[in-house]
Amino acid sequence: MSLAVSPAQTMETKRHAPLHLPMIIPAIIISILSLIPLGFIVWIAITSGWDTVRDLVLRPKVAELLFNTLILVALTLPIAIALTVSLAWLIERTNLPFARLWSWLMVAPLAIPAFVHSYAWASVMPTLHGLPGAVMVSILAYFPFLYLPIAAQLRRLDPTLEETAASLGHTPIAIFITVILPQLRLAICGGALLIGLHLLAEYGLFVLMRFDTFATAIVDQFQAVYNGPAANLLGGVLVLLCLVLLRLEVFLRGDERYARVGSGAARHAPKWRLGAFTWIAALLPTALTLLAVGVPIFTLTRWLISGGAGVWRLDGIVPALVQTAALAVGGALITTLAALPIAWLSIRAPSRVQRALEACHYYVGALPGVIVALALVTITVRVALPLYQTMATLLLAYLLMFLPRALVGLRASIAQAPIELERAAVSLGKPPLVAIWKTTLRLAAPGAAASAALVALGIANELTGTLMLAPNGTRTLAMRFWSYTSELNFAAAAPYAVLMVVLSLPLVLLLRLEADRESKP
Amino acid sequence: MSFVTLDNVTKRYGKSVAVTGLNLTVPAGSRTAIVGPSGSGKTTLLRLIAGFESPDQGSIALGDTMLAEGTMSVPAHRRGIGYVAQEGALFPHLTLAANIGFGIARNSPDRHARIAELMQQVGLAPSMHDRRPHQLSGGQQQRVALARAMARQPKLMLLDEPFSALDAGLREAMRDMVGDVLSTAGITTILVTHDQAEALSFADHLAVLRDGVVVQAGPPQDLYLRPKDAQTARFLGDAIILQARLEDGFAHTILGSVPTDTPSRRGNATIMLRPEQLELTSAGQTDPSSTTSLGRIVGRTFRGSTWRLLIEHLPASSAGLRLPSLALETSSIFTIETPSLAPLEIGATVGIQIVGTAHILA
Repeated sequence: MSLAVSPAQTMETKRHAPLHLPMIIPAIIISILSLIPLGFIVWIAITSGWDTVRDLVLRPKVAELLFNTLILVALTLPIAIALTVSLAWLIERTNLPFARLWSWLMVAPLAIPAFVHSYAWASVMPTLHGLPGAVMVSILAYFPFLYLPIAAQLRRLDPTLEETAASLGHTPIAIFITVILPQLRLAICGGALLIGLHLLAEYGLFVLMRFDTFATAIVDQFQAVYNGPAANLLGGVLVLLCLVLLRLEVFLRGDERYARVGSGAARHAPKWRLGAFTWIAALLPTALTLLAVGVPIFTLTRWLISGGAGVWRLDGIVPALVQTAALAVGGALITTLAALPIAWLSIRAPSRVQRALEACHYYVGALPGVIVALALVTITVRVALPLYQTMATLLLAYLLMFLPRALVGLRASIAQAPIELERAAVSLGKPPLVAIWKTTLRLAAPGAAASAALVALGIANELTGTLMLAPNGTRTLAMRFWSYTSELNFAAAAPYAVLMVVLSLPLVLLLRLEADRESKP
Repeated sequence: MSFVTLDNVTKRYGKSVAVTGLNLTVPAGSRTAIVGPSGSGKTTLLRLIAGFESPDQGSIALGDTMLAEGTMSVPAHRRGIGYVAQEGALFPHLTLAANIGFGIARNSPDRHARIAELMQQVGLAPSMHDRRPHQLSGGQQQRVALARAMARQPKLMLLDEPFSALDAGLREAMRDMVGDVLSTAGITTILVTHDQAEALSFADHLAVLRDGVVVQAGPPQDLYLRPKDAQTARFLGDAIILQARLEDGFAHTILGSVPTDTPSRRGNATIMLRPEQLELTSAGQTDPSSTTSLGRIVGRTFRGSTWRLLIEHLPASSAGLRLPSLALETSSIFTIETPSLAPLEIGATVGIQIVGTAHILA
């Protein structure tokens, strides 16, 4: 995504440095805010003292959590990778019937929040729990994160490479292993990292599957003892796990370039004929659709029917909807605004300082919501008590969690607005900020709106951080759903789940269209 | 001896027909060029021979081996035919050496020696061994692609416009290099290109493809001087096409009379001359009794070593010959290149003399 800057341009940006000052200062402020959760963990580790750390971290319970979390990741990722690579290959590269329909259905599970997947399975099959349940529901809830990039990359592959390999005597299977798979490496690493981070951060899914991970243990500790050192130190271990995962991905990804060498227009790869295997092959996407989309829809329908009109208690639903919408829209506006300075700088004035600031923005996005919440609780309690359990703190948490999401979309849309317009506006006597506002931001508005929508949808389904930080009396859709589910009142929870799914549908549409656009050669 | 034989091959994509009833023989040890405008089916033809596609009808044979016949088709990986794609198609995830060694068995004892030998054959320095494809220039990528295709010692090599992505200067050098390397190795080669100059200079056997059929095949010089029809004539180079009356082995045209390559033909016909068959003389030196006709220079473009002149033919006022409908096919204007040493000014009148023989088209 980095833009090449010619020497002439760099000189010019230096000469016009004052133009950037109004953007650099807010970018620095946001970066410092972004570092709060990480700084909090470091501070906890330093101030706790070795004895506390030994007492609270080096104990069998933590070892069990560590084992659980690691085995969860170690089982989920390979299965999900094998499954999605086969699915994507079947759908993109063979004559499997209804390929277009399947390719949409493979993204559809994203419209269902992970804890709703879990809720559906818990009520359909109460015996499913522990590690097998956690692995299965995780795969069903998160496999689209792998499917999207892998399918896009498969569409982008240059078929000439495969033909060349065939002319060099490689069998189709050998070609798949030596030519196709290596080119999917980046897509697999990226998708697997995303799933891995979700596995570390997810709370609701694993509670319903009765499977203890660091995230569930932290929330439990936190709810037992507010601001206790135990939760904070567990958070420290969780952050370490996240860092290990991030490093592992960087290591596995390598720094190689897998783009096409050369430029010619890529042909579409020929599709393999499945012949007699067609119907056997069609079983895979059918089964996955039934499990990942069919089961939640079936469960929700069943609860809605058995609950009848009684579960649509408007005195509960309407306030939850209004609160969720208000938080989502407010949070999205603040987050998009906060992402603006660094997004603008990364396009208009790339530099080492800017890259460091941007890294700060991105790092927090990789940290689980529990960590952000823990940090904000501790800091408000110790330093700024009036802010404890206020809307302001909750919105700040959303800002920190969803900043990277806003940044990606904003950068792309700012990159499409020509810098000449800004310069023309300045030369016509507009002050720098006004010039940016009237030209670039005007043109970037549609893209900014799309990324704000992504943030809003993320906030609407956020559970963990909201549970920990929301002021008394706050009842979002996710919170309502969660409290009914915790009381095992599955019927009363169903309307809230349906509303969350409906709200998430646009997100799925956006993600899918984005992937389509990127895979155009 | 024919080495590759295509017999009545047809290939359709949905409703559009790419190749239809195509017959082609490629002599053993030859450098065959298949040339045609885009959409003529030449790339499909190459892909059929390589085995990336199978024909709907007809048969393809390599020596005594049948590669495709009816519904039977030997898959590409069992054909042992070398293939170099348009932009090299190097595997981006492998080093230069791993790319070249891709077709050599991993446990083969002489793998490293073979790679080194191939690199030397195509002129790649040993120091580039561990480079990645994106660190190579266009020419180097093509060298790697050629070495990689030669690694399995194929008897037949297919080149799919391998030089078209290179810039002009490099293109010629690469073409010569590739031709030399393949000839030395004794590999029969088929080159597909839309560039007639490239085809003429590379090949010792040329096939012109149009609308999915081979219009004409043979030695390049033959095709250049004796094309079957006006379209082929123009495709292979600038051509001057005239109406003529044939008599006693001569073609009488508005540009004068010229011997024909088929003396027995009589009556009206269309003939073709290559521009280099026209010699210009200054009008003052023209001998009025000769067969010279007159033209006027109406435009010129400097091209370095030559001038490209736009010449309008002047109707012969003194010539006693009144020929029916002997106009130039399009208009009475044609272009000729002359050495730039003696520039001719716009407006000058020149004498036009025809040398060589005229080729009768139809």
